[in-house]
Amino acid sequence: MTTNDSSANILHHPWFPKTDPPLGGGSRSGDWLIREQRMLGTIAESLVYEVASSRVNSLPSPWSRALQFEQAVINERYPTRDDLLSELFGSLATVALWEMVGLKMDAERVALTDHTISPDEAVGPFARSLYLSRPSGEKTLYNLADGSNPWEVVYVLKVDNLVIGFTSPATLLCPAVHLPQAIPGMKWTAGGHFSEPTTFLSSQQKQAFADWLSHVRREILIAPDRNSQPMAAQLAKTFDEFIHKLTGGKIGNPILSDTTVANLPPRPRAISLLSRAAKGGDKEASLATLQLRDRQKRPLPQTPNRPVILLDPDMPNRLGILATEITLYKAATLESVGGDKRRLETLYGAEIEVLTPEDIFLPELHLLPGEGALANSWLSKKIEGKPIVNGSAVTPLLPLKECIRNLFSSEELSRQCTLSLVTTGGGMELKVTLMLPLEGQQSPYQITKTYPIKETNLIDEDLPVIALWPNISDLNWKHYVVFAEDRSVGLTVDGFPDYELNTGREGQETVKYFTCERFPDLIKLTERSQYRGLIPVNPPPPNSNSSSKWSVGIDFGTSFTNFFINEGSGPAPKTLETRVIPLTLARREFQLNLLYKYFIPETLLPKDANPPTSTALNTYGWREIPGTVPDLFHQARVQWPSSNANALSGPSVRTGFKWHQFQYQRPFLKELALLISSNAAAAGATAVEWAVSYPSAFSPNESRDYKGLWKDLCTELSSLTGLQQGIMADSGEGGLQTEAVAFANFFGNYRASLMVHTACLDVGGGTTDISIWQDNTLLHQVSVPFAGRDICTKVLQAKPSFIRFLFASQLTDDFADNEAKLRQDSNFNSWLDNCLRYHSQEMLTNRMKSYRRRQTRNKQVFDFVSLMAISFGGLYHYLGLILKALAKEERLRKQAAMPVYIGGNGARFLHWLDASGAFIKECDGDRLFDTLQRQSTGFASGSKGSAGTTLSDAFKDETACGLISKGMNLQGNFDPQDEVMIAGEQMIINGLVFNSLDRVIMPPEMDSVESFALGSLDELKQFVRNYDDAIAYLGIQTLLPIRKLTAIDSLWDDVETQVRAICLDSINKEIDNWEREPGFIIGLRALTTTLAKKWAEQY
Amino acid sequence: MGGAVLMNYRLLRLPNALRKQTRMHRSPVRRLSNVTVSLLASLLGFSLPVSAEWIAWSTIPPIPQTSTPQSEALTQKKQPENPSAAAAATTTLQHQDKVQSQKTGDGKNHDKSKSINDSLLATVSSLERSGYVFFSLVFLLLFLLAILSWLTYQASTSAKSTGNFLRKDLSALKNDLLKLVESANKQALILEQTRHHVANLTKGLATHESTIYSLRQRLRDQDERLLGLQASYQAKLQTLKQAPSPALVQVEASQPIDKQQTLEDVIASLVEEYQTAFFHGDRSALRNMSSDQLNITQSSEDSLVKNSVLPTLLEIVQNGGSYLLIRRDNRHWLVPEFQILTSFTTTQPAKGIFNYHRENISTADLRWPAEVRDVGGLWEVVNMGLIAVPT
Repeated sequence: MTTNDSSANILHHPWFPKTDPPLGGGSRSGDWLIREQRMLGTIAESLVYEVASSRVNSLPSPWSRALQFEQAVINERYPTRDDLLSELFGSLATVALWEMVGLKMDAERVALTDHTISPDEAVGPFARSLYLSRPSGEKTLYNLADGSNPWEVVYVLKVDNLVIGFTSPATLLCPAVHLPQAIPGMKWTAGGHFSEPTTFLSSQQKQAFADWLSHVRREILIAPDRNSQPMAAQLAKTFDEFIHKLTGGKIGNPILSDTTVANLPPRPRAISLLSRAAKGGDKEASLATLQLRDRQKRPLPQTPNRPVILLDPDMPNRLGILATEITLYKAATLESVGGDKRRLETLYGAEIEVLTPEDIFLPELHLLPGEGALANSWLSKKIEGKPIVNGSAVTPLLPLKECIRNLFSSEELSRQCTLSLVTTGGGMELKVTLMLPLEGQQSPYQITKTYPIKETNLIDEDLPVIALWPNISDLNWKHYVVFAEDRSVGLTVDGFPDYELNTGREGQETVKYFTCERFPDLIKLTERSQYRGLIPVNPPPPNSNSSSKWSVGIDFGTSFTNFFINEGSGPAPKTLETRVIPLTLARREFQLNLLYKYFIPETLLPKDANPPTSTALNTYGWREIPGTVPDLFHQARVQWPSSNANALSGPSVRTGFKWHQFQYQRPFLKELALLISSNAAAAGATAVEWAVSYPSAFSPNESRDYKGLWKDLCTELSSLTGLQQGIMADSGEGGLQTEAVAFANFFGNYRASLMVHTACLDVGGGTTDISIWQDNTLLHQVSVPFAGRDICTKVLQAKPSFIRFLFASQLTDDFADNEAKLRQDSNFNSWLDNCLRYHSQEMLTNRMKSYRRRQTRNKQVFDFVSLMAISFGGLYHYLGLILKALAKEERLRKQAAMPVYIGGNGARFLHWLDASGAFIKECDGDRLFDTLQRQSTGFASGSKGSAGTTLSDAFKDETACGLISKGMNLQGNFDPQDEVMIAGEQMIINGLVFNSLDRVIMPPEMDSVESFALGSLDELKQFVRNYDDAIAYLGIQTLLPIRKLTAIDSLWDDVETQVRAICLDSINKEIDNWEREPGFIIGLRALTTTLAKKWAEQY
Repeated sequence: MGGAVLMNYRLLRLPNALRKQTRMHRSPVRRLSNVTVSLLASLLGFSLPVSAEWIAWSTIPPIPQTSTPQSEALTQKKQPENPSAAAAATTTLQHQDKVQSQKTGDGKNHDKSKSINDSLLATVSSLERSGYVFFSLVFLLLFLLAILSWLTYQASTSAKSTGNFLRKDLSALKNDLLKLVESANKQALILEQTRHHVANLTKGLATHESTIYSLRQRLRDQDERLLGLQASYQAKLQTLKQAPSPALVQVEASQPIDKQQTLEDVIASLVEEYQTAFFHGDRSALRNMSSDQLNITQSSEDSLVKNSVLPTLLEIVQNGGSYLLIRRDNRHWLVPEFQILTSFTTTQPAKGIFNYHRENISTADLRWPAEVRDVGGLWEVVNMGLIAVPT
């Protein structure tokens, strides 16, 4: 039978002394019988009270218990006094401390007169019996206002619905004879009745109880409705004894609860004293409040802003302190809440957060295959011993529940956590110990859980790819990405509530991107949606604090994008650290593949030559919506140079978006800018200012959009990085500089070259930016869409077999079988640019020399190199035409050919022109271009002055470096919109004729290009004549004249057809979207395309 | 040619029964002539069969009609019809052997061992022949001595009176004969010594034979390795064209088929084991097959990004390896980890380890492992493997 059953029986089946039938007679002492409840009434009815003549001594009075307590209080020799007073003491403790323990007390008024007339056959008779046998009211503590006997009205007290006794006019309280169950948090009620409470109370509780008793004692004595002074005095004396037991007589100011027990009346005073429990005086400092440090300084969204109380029933053993003395929060002690989290929450749930070891440790420890399966995590290093399953080493996950992230950083856990392997009879076990810092405690509190190393908990799948970016403290950064492979089996990452999730899917591959604002130092792992543990990430390295501001020059090129950085000590190239850290030792090839394809690689390759990086983006996992700008990272990301030779030719790789598909510019530049910013933040910089170049060949709309893009980017970068971001104030027109000016800045400022009478040619991949300088002032600038790709790459694309001939077969294996496909490959230029970048030097210094020796000369190579020379020669001819036009406009003070500074990625092909493999002063090419320029200008000064070419030795660095170089302060109107190109050849646009030396000024009212043609090819033909003449005049044997490459007479028909095709591309375009191209350059493109075609057909 | 001679030795070994008959019918005169021919042939460098058995063969007269059915059957089964046929058969076998030895590339060694063998056998034959000559001479001398004794007796008993000159002549003849006998005894002693020497040489020959056998084994191993290399190059070549299976490459190669299959069997077994483990997702089986996990070195990654033509280098790692090193047939092979193979279905990285061949399959499959070699603790790809990927 359960306790509850017993209590029910007691309530419904009273026990009475055995009597002889029917009810009279005596019985043996202690012989009790169970009876129906109604027997109370029967017995009561059968009683005869003859007060005057006789006394009924053989039956116990129903008030006897109350009277016994009265006797115990007033009679020091009463036989059971000690026991009775212990019960009274215990019951008073309950009434005094119920609130501090977190319980609830109620009272129910019982007026006997109300029940004497009850028709209930049990209640009525029993009430009458009680009423009739009520003790005398003479010796009561108090009087009632109506003068009735105080015993006629009592209050039954209940704590948490458990009857604990009733109010007694004699002793204030008459405890229940039997407690069917212990009252939670009050161990002195555990024996089925009240007992001495002192040993179960904390110091605080003792003091509070003593103070309460003192208060009650005092109030009883001075109560206005006090009746019996001796009774009050005797009770006060008893209370003194209690107080002495509690505190040795020490009393303080009582602090009573603000709440009162309902139904206890304000009068009599003695009864009202029971309505307010003790609240406790000075609060004992909590011994169990967790000390939060990192998370308190910089809380996560889920970090509690209330005290976190650790509740561990094992605390007395670990701390060596009694449970009664372990204050959890305010008045709650471990003893008082009985180690019950729910009770503590009931008490102070609104004020605190309660944490138990069960809330911290996971029930099971999960394992990963292999030793040290985690990267950039301190976990493996913390394990003492080598966990093994089936003879193979395994790596455990941190078996802490995810809520721990809200309380502690990984860095704190690395100090607080230890894991040691224990070998037992049953196998290996991992003992995980966490040292929790508690407020006011010098030593942290240790909690421990031991996990068996179970094979069933081994997640024997390939480790997932998990990476984090950037590895920078969140004191300096605001935007983090956790990248993870998503799979149906094995482990994957799950987010926390403050994470934002994006996904990408390509075929069978699915990846996840979690973004958050705080460094994700604890990674939550799940398997089939079940939480399995944490990866604690090593804290990011401290900032170097080497710089406060970074100036960055960005040269966004057609094939390559480059940047230079000024950290305060001048412009310099800087190899970027991606700041990506992998968190698992997944299969490296698989990891590389996923990171390159969907995220950022751990290292940028090649290590010594990045930047510049390919201007390439990929959109794996994103279904493209035409014109929509894809988001970084989950929709698009930079396609970094990869050790996978096929990477750049992947189906979702996008290149050439400097000039087309502009929607890819934003994610590309954003990622690049973020990476640079992350490096700046890691270096301690707090601000980044950008100097950005753009080609003057951009149409007005393209220029405007590009400037707008950077403006928006700076705003976005500021919010993502936490660094101040902006366009360099003095960088140029509209915050951006033309590539031509930036290029000239490199020579003028960085190299301190004279810019008095100088031309600069920045031959890029897609455009050549020409600037003319006079007395450090910009005289003219123009960007023409004729550069490295026209000079070399497109020619090679027409003849793949020649590429195989030039380069090692291993490089060209991939397109061995499908030349037609190769010609159509939109990423071919980028691929070849990379090939040329890394292999030109080797080819020039070795094989090309052999091919060009007179004895072993290869005709195909000879022709090809001559074609390249024609392309460069055409640019010099156009340069001469510009000078001629400027002279005609009387803006050119010195009518002489100009020295040329030439650079850019496309300019490296100049080295091909010389048989030695190096373009140097006075080489054949140099002399040829000098002559071509002079011939083109037609200046009378003829051969006066130097017009040689200085080839840069910093290919591709010039513009980026020039953007942030300071020096002589080049001047002029740098806005290309104010500069109009010089035709170079007769152009007819919408019927308007522009001659070769005219500027192509479009009338404001012209909205679109409706007709466009070249009026003649006179300048081009002149160039061809000049070229051949120059070759002959200079006696150049290493380059062929044009007439030896093709029959001149039959050439022009094909060139004119090409010209017409190019012009048709420009028709029906709005003026603002029309990319201006000088007529001569159109002709030059047509000429070189025709010659290349003939060359390709010839071999 | 030594190898060829030994082969003949084995091929033409006679049954014991026939050997006995052979001994019974040996003709010293024919033997002498055959030995002489053999010696001459040997000296002149002809590749005539010179084994003792051949010599024995060549002296066998037509099989008597009384031969047993068993011996007849054996004869029909094992022997050519006549010595010339045997010689022809031997020559054919020699030719085959020569072709084979040329193909297997051990010509020089064969020549060397032939010369040793030839000279040894010639010596044996010569000594054997000398033995027969000696016994013939002794027999002849004894016969002459007996005649002389008889003549002396007749002369003393019945013709004492015939004259002193005849006795003198006979006495002189007797002295000559005694000298001849003495000389014959000396020759017998020399012959005995020579026989002892021959026995030693025979032992030496056996030693040489085992050496040559060992040499042949080594040559065969080298031959197989060369075949493997050739097969691998053939496979690469074919991959770049139409990428037939390596098996086809092997068949098309000009190498002996049995040797091709040896390498192919090794690889086929390796690939089958790998595929079975892959099919069942049996990681432990894969772990058991391999000795180490490998990854491409960082410097090699850096070279690859520059499209370097240098062979790819890999290093041993404790965890996270993408490739597994497997030792088979004294060579080291590289196979992808399961996850890597699966990833090849969608992405085929060109990293100088595997070529890819498009086939009508749903997931990537290993066709041929890459071969690597140890270079100072790193592993260099010497032959790229082949992965079949979906079209």
